[in-house]
Amino acid sequence: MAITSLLPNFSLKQTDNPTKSFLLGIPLQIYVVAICSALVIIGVLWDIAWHMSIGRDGLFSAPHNAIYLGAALAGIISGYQVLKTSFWGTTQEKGKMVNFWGIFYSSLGGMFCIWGGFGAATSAPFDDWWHATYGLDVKIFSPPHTILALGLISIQIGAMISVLAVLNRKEKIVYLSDIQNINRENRLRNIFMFTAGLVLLTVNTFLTEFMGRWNMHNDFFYEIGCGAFPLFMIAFARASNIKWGATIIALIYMVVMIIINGTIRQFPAEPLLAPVSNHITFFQTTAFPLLLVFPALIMDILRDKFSQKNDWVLALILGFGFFITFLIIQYPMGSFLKESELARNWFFQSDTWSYNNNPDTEWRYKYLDRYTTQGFQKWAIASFISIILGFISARIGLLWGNWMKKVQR
Amino acid sequence: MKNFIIIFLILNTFFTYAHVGSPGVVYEGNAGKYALQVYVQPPDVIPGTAKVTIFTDGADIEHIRIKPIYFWYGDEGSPVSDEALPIAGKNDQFEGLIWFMTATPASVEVEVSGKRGTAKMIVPVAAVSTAKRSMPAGLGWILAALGVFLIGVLTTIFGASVSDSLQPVGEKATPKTARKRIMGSLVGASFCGLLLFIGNNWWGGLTKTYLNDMYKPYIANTKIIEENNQTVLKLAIDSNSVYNRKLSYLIPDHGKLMHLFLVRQGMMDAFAHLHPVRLDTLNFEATLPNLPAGKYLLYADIMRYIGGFQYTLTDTIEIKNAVKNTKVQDPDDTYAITNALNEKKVNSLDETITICGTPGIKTKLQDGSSIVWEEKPNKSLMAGQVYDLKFSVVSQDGKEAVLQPYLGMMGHAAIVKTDGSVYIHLHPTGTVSSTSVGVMQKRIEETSVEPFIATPKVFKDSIDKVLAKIQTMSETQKNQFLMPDMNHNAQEHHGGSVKFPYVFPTAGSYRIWLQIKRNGKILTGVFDAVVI
Repeated sequence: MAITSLLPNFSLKQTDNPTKSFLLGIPLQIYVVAICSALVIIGVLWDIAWHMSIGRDGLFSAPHNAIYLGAALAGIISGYQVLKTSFWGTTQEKGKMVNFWGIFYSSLGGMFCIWGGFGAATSAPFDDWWHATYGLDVKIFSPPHTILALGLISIQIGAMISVLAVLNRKEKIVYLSDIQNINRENRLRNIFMFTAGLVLLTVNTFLTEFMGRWNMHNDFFYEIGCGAFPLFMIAFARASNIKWGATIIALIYMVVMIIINGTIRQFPAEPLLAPVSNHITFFQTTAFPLLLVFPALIMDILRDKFSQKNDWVLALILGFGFFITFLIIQYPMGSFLKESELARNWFFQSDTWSYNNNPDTEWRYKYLDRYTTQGFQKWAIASFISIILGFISARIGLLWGNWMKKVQR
Repeated sequence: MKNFIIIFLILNTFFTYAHVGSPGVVYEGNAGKYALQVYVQPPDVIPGTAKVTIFTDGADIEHIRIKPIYFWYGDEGSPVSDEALPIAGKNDQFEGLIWFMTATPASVEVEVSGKRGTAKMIVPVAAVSTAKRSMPAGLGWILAALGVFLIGVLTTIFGASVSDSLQPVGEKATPKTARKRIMGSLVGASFCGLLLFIGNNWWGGLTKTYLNDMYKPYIANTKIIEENNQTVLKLAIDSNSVYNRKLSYLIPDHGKLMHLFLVRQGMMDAFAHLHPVRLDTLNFEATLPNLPAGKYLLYADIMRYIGGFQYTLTDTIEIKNAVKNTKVQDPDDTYAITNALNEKKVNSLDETITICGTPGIKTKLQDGSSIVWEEKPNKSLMAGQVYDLKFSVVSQDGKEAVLQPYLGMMGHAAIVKTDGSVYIHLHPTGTVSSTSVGVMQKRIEETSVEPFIATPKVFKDSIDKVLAKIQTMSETQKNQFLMPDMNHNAQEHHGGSVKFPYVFPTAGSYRIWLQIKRNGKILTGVFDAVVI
């Protein structure tokens, strides 16, 4: 229904308070945790670039500080909200919260953020001991880093659930005009789409070791992709209640990643750890994002077309659709990113090469045989596995999406 | 026997790269017109950071920059250097950190600049993982408490996700909600349990990988046999302990492929410095000097060309009967008998008997000259502090003695902690052999990213030829060959004192055997030191 057709019924009542008007009755906590979610992934991508370019860092390096700030702020504001509601909150305020451990009241998203904040805090002394026992960071994945990663993604999911609960409640704020209430709902949905895109970006980042351009001609790449992405994209799309939900979220993921990495690589950097094989002069970054917008578009069309099917059938259709589109788009994109000179620029970032990798290796711009799957039989088996994984992933995504639509607190 | 086994275990437990139980690297030398002493405290876990302290000879230093250089990657693979900062209140001392990321032969390059120009010095460093750490109880409890809290919250989140969070605003929880909450919490707790199980297995796997990557010493098996009426020491290196560190790449250090030290266990009163010959890549042998019977601690130094990395082989060996050999395998082999620990009296009547000295007290040497350790008699030596262990030799007439090079150096010293857990072979340059420095310098001069290394057979054959050539040299030629940078004049007068920069790693009692050459005769001074 066009908004203009509703106009005659609109109340002209409007708050005079500029802050209230600006926030549109959305709790400040929602804005803060959404920003924290962005800070966290900016910090993570920056930190990866730092390790690819400079190598050496300290506890309080700039990317670490961005991550700490995001984690701490999300944890603290959510913790504050819990204490405030639990001990000084009105019955009405408590009624919007989950009661736990007898005395505490928190939104579910807030609980995720608190868990994330404590997870990040726990990882710090653990990581410090880990460094002294097993050496300073050489691998992204270690038990303390995994606790940190779980904490960070928990904050991001917390941010997303927080806004979703408010969105799902479809509250009408009495001190806002009707148009402001519509704006409020749009803003909540936009924040949700933004935070969902950030979660997708984080998932992709954690899968960097498998999802690089060097691996795009490998069956494992598609199996991992089909196992991971439909779950998040379908769940978020269903929760968004928007026809093009998956497409928009995938676009947000891509644009944010291009902006972050494209910005980071504008800054100078010099390797500070031996051995240095590649004497780079500016920040090297992870990669150009996956072209998830295309499988997302297909999945949105399929979701719409087969919306009446039961979720098991729909999951199979979506899993299949995702795999086919992902393969058809990403395989040639891999050729372009890996082999084409046109991809070696700030936008596609295929010239990026870690300081400790030999820049003159012939494999820099060529697929390694051992990373390339060849032969019809291997691809047939891989396709089957990918579709099964895509189906399972999509089915869980649909289930999760249903749950997300119902979250109220 | 029990003590014997304990000592053996100690020797094999302590890391035995470039000496035993003494990880600190001290190197003294000239960088251009500057005299520098560099003390590196390498990390015991790689990747890790080394603390580098530079002692300079003046206050005219403007900048000191330091950086790591690996043998395998050369200067080309080195990052930009870091400024070492002056230590507060000491304008001639500087300090900085170096990051060592891989456990391969490495070095620290020190670049000094000031009024005397800019010059560089290379200090080879053993960057290897040697430490096994467990979690301190306090930290363990803190992490356990945080872990319990995290599990509690996550379980609650699972429970709330399927129950309370789905209830419309203001509605009270029903028994159905409570049931769902419990079910959700159980799923959450199971999820946490699964995570902990996976995490624990993963952690165990990573620990195993770390332990596999730790430094592993070469294992030596030694025995004493009678051969042609001579008592001979046979040393075999266990091929299972070689891994990819091929022994064909051994190079002579001070003209010898192996420097082997024997110290009588417990009393520490019998000492020998031998140079076994190579029979093949794994086997060495040496004719023993006339040592008394007893159980001996054995330390044998070898050096590989790859980074000039020194390794110490350790073992314990028993000489059942006093050795009465008539032949000397190598004229540079020496031995000395002195008084036992905590005893003034000497247990043997051998002609080489020398009395053990203490700091500041003049002690007689075998040829009638005297040696004094120039340290205050009552001053305590501190562990972890750099000392110039300075010794002066005075001839019978009271004048400064004339010293000659011995194995290409003005002196050699072996220091052994009385429990056998620390051993080091020192030179006036410090703990680092000048041969190691030469190898790294040569590598740095190469402009290729990867070093050129001959095949094992070619390399070994060429080293054998060099060793054979050294055997045919006169004493002067040998010194010129081993010390190309020194002035070898006819008198070969190098003063009567010699110093060995060193850092005692731990508190305890140490015995020092100091070897110098005078009038063509190798003399051994013995000193006891108590370190607190």
